[in-house]
Amino acid sequence: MATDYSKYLRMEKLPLYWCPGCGNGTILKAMITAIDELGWQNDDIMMVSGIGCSSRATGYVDFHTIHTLHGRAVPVATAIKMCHPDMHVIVFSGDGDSTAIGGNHFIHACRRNIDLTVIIVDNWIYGMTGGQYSPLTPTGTKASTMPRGNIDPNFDIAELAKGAGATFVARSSVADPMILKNYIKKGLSHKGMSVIDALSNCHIQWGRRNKYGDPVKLVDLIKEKTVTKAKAAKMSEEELKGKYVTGILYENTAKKEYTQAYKELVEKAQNE
Amino acid sequence: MAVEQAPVVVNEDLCTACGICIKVCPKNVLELVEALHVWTGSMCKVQRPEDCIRCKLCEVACPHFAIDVVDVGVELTFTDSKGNQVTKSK
Ligand SMILES: Cc1ncc(C[n+]2csc(CCOP(=O)(O)OP(=O)(O)O)c2C)c(N)n1
Ligand code: SF4
Ligand code: SF4
Ligand code: SF4
Ligand SMILES: [Mg+2]
Repeated sequence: MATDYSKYLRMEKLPLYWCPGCGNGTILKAMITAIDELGWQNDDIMMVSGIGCSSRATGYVDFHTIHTLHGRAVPVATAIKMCHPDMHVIVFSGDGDSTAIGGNHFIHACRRNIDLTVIIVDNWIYGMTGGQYSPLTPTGTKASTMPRGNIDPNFDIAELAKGAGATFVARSSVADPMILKNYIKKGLSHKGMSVIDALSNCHIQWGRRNKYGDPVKLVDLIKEKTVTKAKAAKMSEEELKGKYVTGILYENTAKKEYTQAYKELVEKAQNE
Repeated sequence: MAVEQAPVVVNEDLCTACGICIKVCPKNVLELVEALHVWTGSMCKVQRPEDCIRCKLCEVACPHFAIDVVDVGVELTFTDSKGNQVTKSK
């Protein structure tokens, strides 16, 4: 059935303030459609964001929302989840927000396997503040603070999340919004720390510096750079250089979730 | 007369004429048309509604919540690109 977006959006805040064609909206829509398909009620959802273009998303949705500080969405979300374990807590965060200033918070939430769903809007750049490079800016590409091309190796955020202890890790992009929606839906349903790396187009701050100032062209480039897990299995390391492997990359239902562990601890202490 | 219901509708208050839906449409239904509406000087218009297969690719790809596709099965009544009134049920 068609999704009635107005059920989930603060319609009076529209039109979106994002640049024409910005992937933030595509990812937000995928998230809303996933929630609609799950049949969740607005009042059972807490959406938390940090600071950045992508983090503005919390202003548009009619859930419980907090627009926190740059990099601090995950600790705020952690606190909310600890106090309200029955609430669905979603973090919507930029690549800079979650892996630069907020990187430490991010890995420790993964380590604890707390039941959050973290959607990383991975547009390879600090969009809001003028195109500074982030830990996810592809090596060799230009940023305002790397005008001759980025010399930093970038994180593979999916590997990082998995290594740090997250129990659901998936990647897709704005070039495959239906698949992205399915992964977000799976991540939302998963009990434990879920990380969805959502590759996105910032054709303004990343694109204009790298000859992809047009949103359609940049979405095409993202499509070119992604390969499915099945395809990647047949490719050599050399062929996979600079590519992003998409799919559900890791799923583990055996590891204990953090609020559950805490609940058990409280019950044990009360029975002593 | 039945109420007008096209298969796909653009909300011109939300559309930014980014062109993403036009790129993903497999049936070439949509087009950017010159208009004094937004700062880009154009607007996304449903030019050939009769060709729409209601696949929703445009809707899921639109970053601005600006295009909606009617579910398959809902009856449609609209004016096609040649100016004829069309009724479609499937
Ligand atoms: C403590 C602090 N440091 C720096 C900033 C400035 N700042 C705002 S957004 C941002 C980066 C945003 O990049 P990202 O998280 O990738 O989000 P995007 O805009 O790309 O969606 C920075 C550095 C800030 N607001 N607060
Ligand atoms: S600057 Fe980039 S991330 Fe920010 S709204 Fe524009 S396109 Fe989107
Ligand atoms: S529903 Fe499919 S065929 Fe119809 S306009 Fe959208 S993309 Fe084109
Ligand atoms: S994708 Fe949306 S905003 Fe962009 S041109 Fe199409 S209807 Fe307009
Ligand atoms: Mg960013």
